[in-house]
Amino acid sequence: MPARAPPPDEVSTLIRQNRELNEQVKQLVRAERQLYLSRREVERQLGRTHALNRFALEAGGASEPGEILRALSEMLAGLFPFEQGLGLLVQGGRLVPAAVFALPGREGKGEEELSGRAIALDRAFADELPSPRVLSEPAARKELPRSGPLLDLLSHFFCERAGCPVQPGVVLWLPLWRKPGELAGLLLMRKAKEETTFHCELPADRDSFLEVAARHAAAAVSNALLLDDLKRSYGTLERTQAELVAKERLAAVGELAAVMAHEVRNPLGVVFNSLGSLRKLLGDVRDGAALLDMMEEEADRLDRIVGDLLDFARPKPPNLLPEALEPIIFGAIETARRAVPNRGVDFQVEVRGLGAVVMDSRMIRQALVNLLINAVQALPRGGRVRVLASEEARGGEPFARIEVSDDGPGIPSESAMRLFEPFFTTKASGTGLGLAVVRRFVEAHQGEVAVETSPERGTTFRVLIPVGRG
Amino acid sequence: MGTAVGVGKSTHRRCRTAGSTAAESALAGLGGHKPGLVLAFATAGYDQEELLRGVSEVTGGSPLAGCSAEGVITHEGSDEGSHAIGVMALASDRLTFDTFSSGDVSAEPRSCGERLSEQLRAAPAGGKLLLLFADGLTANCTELLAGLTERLPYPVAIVGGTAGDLLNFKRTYQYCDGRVASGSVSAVLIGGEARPDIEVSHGCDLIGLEQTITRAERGFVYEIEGRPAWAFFKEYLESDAEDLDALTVAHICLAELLPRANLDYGEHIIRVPLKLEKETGALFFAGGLKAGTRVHVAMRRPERICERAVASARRIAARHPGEDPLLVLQFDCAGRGRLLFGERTNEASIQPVQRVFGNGVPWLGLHTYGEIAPVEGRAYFHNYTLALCALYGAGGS
Ligand SMILES: Nc1ncnc2c1ncn2[C@@H]1O[C@H](COP(=O)(O)OP(=O)(O)O)[C@@H](O)[C@H]1O
Ligand SMILES: [Mg+2]
Repeated sequence: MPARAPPPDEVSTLIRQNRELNEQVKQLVRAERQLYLSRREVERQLGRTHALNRFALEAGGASEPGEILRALSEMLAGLFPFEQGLGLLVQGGRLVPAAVFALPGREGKGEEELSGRAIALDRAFADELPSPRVLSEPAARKELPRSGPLLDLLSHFFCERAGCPVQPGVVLWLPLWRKPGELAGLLLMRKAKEETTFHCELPADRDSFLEVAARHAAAAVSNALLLDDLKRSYGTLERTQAELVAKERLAAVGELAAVMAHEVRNPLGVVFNSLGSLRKLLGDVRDGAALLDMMEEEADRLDRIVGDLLDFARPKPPNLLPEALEPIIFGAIETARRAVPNRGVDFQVEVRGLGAVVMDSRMIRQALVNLLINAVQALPRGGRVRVLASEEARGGEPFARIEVSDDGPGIPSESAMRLFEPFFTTKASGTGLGLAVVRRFVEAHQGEVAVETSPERGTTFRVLIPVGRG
Repeated sequence: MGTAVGVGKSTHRRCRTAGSTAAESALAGLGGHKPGLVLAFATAGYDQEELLRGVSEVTGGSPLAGCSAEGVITHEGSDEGSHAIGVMALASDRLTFDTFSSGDVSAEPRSCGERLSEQLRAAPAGGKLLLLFADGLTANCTELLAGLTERLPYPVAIVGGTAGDLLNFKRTYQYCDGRVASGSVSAVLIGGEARPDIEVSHGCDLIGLEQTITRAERGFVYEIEGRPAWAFFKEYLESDAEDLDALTVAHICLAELLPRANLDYGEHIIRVPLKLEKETGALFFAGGLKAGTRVHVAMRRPERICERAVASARRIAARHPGEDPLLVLQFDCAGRGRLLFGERTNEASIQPVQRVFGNGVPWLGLHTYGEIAPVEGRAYFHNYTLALCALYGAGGS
């Protein structure tokens, strides 16, 4: 195309138009930038709102205040560059650690390190912190003069760890105000280093989003505490009532037992005396001896029933002394052997690494006798009864574990549930008190008794009592 | 054995654990073979030395290259968090691996490039692909590439990116054979039966008139159309903007006319300023704009960025019908991640590209401060761009 120069005035119009166009482009770019920035801000706010909603849902479903504080930490760690969280609840004028949170690689010590580390909360501290603050650790010591113990706790828990240099970090102080003047708790969120990244900035001091989140959390924590209180007091009520009823019933039975013991044991004494005399008088008159044996056996049984009844209905506090278990086990076996006629029952005893146990040996002996008698009775055609005693740790405490097993027929499930009920028996001449007494005595030692049974493997009763040294 | 490739990632906050965890997952893909090459990209929240110590604990003496990144990309998506590391391990009896490095890219970019090409000459012959990881803040990469390609001993495809630091623009790191350096270039030469295929795309539109760079030196542009560069830029921003922050860098850029256009790629290459020299109002471009260069102001278009990225991936795949690449490396500008797409980055711009190759192809990428990739057979430094490099083996088809 042949180029023809445009006339001069056309050139200047073109240049002017071009310049105007360029100005419009600049304006367009500026407007686009505003749009971009506001879209970014909207997206950020939307992200926060979503997070808050999710948290509110989670907190509403949580039954435990610690869970709520953990959910709050998790949300904040998702929105801000925080890596660690420590949640404290106000309880009885103190700040009590209730929840910890950490991203992988920023874990602190074990949670048990926090138990018993409550911090006294003075009013002045609460006044120092009317709204959320984000402060470097050194700045916190200056601006929140009462925060020292909390900072110490934080660095004790999260920093002083082998191989992890103590770097000063940044801490978010998020007071959870239920309403003005009423602090429900405090959340501390920590970030190891002070510098941040472009995409994940620290929140501003007194950020209103944080205030809203804190108010949510405070309300949820209060609700959970209230619910917890309610549940607890309800539970206590129920328990005391049951105890009361049991005690009353027991008192009545106890009185009856005492009367009965008196009424039965006096004549029994006479019967035993007379039996002794008769034996001497009769010498070895045939059949007479057998008759006497029978009478004595029955009288023994009567005596036992009275004894069981007294044991059960008239519990005495245990008389605790350190003693070795082994002789008590052997003694109990002797008594059981004599108490129940047995054919071909083989007794095995094994005591493994168990020193003295603090106990009322009379009670423990009686409990073992009752278990052994049941075991032998479960083996009418002979079999094996094993007693196994060993030491076992439970929650860091040493316990004595005594197992009495037999290879008898086991206990049908409909009976198994009722075994420990007083007067429950499946035996023609049973009292149904043996296991009730076992439970009573074991519980008097702060112990517990359990049973495992199956037709193939027989029955094992397991008694656990604290060793109780030191 | 052929070629085995494994990729691992970690976001663990303890540097050593993160390094060793990511390396362990990468090695798990090698079926017990010792890696011949280890690539690592990690965000700058980590102490980089400790991090590499963690990687080496697992990979032993295997050659290690890579750099700090603004974000790490794997099949899990793009992660621009302060603590993320991605590791790729390769073991092969068909490919050869050599690692090099060259320092002082900030002061002497051209001779730094020349030194690299001398190292190529010394390396065993048969190099097919050269990966470059350069300092993202101080290097004039156009000069670097000029020095490197002026006397290349043999034709080699060049691809790579420049290191990032979470958009803090303070300091970036290059991993030079297991050591951590700044102001350097880390390089890997892959040879043997390697067939690299590289595509490059951006999503910027030209706006306004053509303008001329009137004064520039060593990557610094002092004047555009006779006016201080910063003042020129500011007219497109708010007039009270005081510094060149990430949000500004992401907003407008310059487009430079290519000597030879490419139908798919377009006619212009994108240039973004990285630094403002406040005293003079000069802007530093790692793309090294020269006086007399004619440029347009350009703006990114999010939809176009996504479309073109997917199209570039499809072009690669279409050239290798019925064949899966051994691996894909992705060099994606830091401005094309969270900065632009926010929470939607993965759905919008990462996953659609990955889907072209399928989930089975080992994938490692990073968000860079600049990208290096060829257009019409010549290596260029780019900004605001995606460079995809798919590496194919001897050819099953
Ligand atoms: N080792 C055991 N094997 C089978 N059944 C048992 C065993 N121990 C207890 N039982 C069952 O538990 C019931 C209650 O036992 P206990 O309280 O000692 O009362 P009693 O022995 O007087 O019946 C027994 O009647 C019996 O049915
Ligand atoms: Mg009994």
